[in-house]
Amino acid sequence: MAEIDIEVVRLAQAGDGRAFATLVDHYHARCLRFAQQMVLSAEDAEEAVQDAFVRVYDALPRFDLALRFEPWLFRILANRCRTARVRRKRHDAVVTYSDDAPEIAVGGEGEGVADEELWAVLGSLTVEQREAFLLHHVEGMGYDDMSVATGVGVSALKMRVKRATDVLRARLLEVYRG
Amino acid sequence: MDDLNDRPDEVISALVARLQRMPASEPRARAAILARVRGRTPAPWKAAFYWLWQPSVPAAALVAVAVVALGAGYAGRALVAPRPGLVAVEPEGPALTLVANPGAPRLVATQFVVELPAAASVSLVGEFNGWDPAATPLVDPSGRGAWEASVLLPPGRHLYAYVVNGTVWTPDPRAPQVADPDFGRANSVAMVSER
Repeated sequence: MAEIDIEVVRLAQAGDGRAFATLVDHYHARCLRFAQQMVLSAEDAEEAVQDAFVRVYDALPRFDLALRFEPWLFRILANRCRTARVRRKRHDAVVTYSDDAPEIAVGGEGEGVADEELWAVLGSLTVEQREAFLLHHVEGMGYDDMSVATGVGVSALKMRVKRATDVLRARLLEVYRG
Repeated sequence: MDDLNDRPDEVISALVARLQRMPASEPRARAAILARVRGRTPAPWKAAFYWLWQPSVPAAALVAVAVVALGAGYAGRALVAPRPGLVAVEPEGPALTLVANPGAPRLVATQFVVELPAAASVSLVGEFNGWDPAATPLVDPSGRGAWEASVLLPPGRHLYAYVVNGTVWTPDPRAPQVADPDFGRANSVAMVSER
């Protein structure tokens, strides 16, 4: 998805309600996707996204227009996701951890795979690994933007993505082999 | 490592393809967000202040030269050792360290003092007042530029800054500073103890 026109950000910053609504419309689905995969709970994700946009609204007057909006948005969202995880550990009620590997269909047969099962695979990562993996591979961020979004250095982020990829590959291969 | 990360194998690519599917963005959920911010009608100061954070405005540099801050209340389990009397601008003035208020056991009277002889106005902004420059103006009872305000705060860690002449936002150089988690800019830290 294309990054939003900075003029929309500028108008929202100046208090234009329609511009802020445009921001929400543009990024809501992506933010929800990231939050769901971070907090591993649809309910907590929606709350985190809502909190993030409210925080963005409050913080926009202090946003530096010389910077890119998207990494800044994801920085706020990632913070809200961390807060959500600390505040409410309800994802255990949604994601079932068991000795039985979830049936993950990869390679074209994934239509029937529930989000919860995908989340169970993601749950095998640490929060830091998951954040780095999702930002890079799912959100398509470069490492410089990821550094802005996470406050973590590029080298450490590359390592996290590498380790996350290794863990996920091993987990998925376990699933394939039954 | 970069090249390996950017060329995921078939297993990872298939997983990523599934993860990239967008969830439904329900109008109800978006409306809930807008309803929440609608109740937070932008304070007039926000539009007036946003330019302060533009790189073209050397506010921080100007403030660093112009402002001699004498600090804020900072005690208890601080990041650095407690320094009672740190901000004693006026020897005969009120105690400037944190003082427990026995009538409000859950709040602590915390005095902020900063010396700004050239300032026309100074206000205190922080998490505790929604970063609103209009919420907590400092007063200069001596007329010599020793601005002060007392705020009741719950024990804990509080981020704050000063706003000078209604336009210049600056952290307190005499207090520990941390980067704002959302902006990366510096705010000051006050640790308030229950003492």
